[in-house]
Amino acid sequence: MRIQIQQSKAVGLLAALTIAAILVSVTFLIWRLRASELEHARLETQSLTEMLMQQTQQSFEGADLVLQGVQERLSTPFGRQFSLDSAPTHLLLSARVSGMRQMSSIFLVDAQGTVINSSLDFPMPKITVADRDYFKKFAFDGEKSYFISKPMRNRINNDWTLYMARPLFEVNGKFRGVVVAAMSIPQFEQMYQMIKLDYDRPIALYHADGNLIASQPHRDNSIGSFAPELKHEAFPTKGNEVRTIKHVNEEGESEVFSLGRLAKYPLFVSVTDDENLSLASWRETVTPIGMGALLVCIFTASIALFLNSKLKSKEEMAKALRVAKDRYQHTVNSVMDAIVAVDESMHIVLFNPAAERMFNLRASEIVGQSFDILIPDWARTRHHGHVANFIQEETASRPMNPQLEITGKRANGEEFPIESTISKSIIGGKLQMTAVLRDVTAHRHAANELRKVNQQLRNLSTSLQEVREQERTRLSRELHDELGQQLTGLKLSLSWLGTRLKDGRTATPDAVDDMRHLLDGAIASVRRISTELRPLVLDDLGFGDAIAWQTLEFAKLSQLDVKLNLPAENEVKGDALATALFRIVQESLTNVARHANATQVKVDLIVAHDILTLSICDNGQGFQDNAREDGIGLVSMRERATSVGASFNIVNGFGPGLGTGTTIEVTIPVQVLIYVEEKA
Amino acid sequence: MKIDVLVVDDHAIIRDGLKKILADTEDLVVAGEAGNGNVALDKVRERDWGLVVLDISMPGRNGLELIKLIKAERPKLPILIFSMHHEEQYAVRAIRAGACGYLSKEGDSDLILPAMRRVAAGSVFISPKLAELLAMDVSPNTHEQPHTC
Repeated sequence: MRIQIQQSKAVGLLAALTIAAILVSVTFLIWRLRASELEHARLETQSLTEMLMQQTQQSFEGADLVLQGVQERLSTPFGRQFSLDSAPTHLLLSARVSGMRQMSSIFLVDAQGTVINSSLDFPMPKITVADRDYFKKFAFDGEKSYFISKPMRNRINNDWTLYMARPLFEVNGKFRGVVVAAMSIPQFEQMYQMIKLDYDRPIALYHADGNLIASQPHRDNSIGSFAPELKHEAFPTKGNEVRTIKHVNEEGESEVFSLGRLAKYPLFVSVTDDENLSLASWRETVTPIGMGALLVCIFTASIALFLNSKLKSKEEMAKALRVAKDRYQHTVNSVMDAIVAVDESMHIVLFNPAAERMFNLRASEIVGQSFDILIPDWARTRHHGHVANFIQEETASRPMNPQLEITGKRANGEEFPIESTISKSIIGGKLQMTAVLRDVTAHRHAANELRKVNQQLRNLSTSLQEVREQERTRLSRELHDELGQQLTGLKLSLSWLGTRLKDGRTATPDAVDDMRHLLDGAIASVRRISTELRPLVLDDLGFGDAIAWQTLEFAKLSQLDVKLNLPAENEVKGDALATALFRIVQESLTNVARHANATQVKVDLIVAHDILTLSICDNGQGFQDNAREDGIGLVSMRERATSVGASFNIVNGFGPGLGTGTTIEVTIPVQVLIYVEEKA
Repeated sequence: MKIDVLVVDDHAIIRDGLKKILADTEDLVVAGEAGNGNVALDKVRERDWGLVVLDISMPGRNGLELIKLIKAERPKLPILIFSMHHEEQYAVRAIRAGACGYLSKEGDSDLILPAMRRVAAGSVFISPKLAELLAMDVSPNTHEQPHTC
């Protein structure tokens, strides 16, 4: 049971663990890939920054070298021979600027701030640049080295231009003018654009004060003003230093920002890497991995669900089976009838508790053994015959023929009758026979008892019939012999008298007296016979006197010594009780006279402990046991006693400790007496 | 000469009654009486009798048996049955057994003397009712002793 449940749970658990492991490892892998991708992008951004710094530095160095060359040239004694606006100077400028792509032109400004020569045109139209910072720096601030201007639009084609300038001095050191290289900002931007990467990374060039010089992509509005992305940055203070920071921009995207300071110039280069973009290739890599992992998870989950439902249905089936089995077991165990099932070879496969009780055998001992153990040896052959017949029969179930007695044998060898119903069924392709057995010992016993009682009743009925017939025979004989003869005698006497009178003769009064005596005798006979029909004496005298008269008569006839002791005679009220007791006394006395061979009889009627007891004892030969059950007189006495609620007993012995003899004892509780009386 | 009559009846009353009636007659006299069959047989063997008046129901041998025994001793001795029983019950059998007459005690008491005289004279005394019964008795069982009356 437990194992079954664990199976389905284990499958679920295993699947969950597998899925979790897959998810964790894949997540870890993806996270690692992302981290490494980000690290890679960061390093790339950083090295890109360094590269751009070098390239930018080279550009500025190139421009500076040109400026220094022009400065040197114009500061030599030879150079000083030419005026700044001369053609040779223009040639010098043109020669120097050629091949320098980062420089759109190089021009000379005189001490008054007027452009007097240019690499572009000669003669140069006079344009004043006295308002420009690169002029003011040298003319008024006395800067001796170089200057990089703010980005501004040039006055020729209005392009964004950055100016790098160096001063020119007279021999006496007097400020002579400024040589200026116009560096095209679009040129820088173009250079930055030429760096082809997997994806675009914004690049920017700043002035040391944070003003934007150039950027890729181009930000026209921001050029010359403070770059917003530098707002929170701490500027690198030393050359060649690259600082890489991660921050979140205004749009909420994570960015890697790399800022480096050029070694020789107050310029900064930055590369911004949008993490989103840098993770694009990571995404491409990760998507199939993720999808694959997801598919594996789904597959695992489906398999687990499938297995789970399979196992669950199996468990439910097992449970249903268990419930059915329990119910079956409970039913089989709780029925009062014994149930025994056997297989084809008559080996016991089922033996319920009722069967255990019936046969006094444990199921554990008997299951697997032959059914023959439960049958006495002598009945086996016949039982085998029954079973063989039953197997052949079409019917699935039938009671064993009740006429054929089936006998079982208990563990102690005791045999007992069984009523059985047998059925057969095919279980698992094999024949099984199931017998429901009922121990009918008690039933048989009761049936026997009933039969016995019935027999007694029949005997009683027959005996009553016989008694009545005897009584009638006797009465008939008495009527015939006594009364009939007396009347015939009287008739003869009358005939004689009649004849005498007719003949005119006389008759003596003696003759009439004789006839009256005859008549008296006839009347006495009538009285006697009617008394025998019904003890009128009982009605006339009451119970005590009636018994006294009866015993006196009996003593006279039987010559027995009869003692009468009736202290409780007044307790006997009611005709039914009086008649019953009177008849019992009569019958007992008759029995004594007929069978007892006694010389003494004692009749007692006493009350003690609220019980009225009538006993008739004789000192005869005692009662024969076999007479006890069948005696007709006894049966009728017992019936009479029972009819008035009394119990009837026969005990041997004349009295306590007096040995042989018989005592017939009728006892009635006084309460019953009262009840009988009320009923009467 | 008077006819000697032997009265066989277990009831003294009946015997006394008959004695009293016969005492008044000229031709009949109760010369002996018996209370049961054995005494009756002894008396029959003792001497000759003119007539035996016999009851059927008696202790010991019954009347019908006694008829045959008496007839065996003295085939010519006439026997008159005087019984409480109805004619229908015993009369035919009594006649067959050898009795010469049957008179029920229930019947007319005045018939007793004519019946005794008739039987003693060697005739048969039967009532009209008994005559009818005998006529109807056509049973083949006829190995009875020849009647002497």
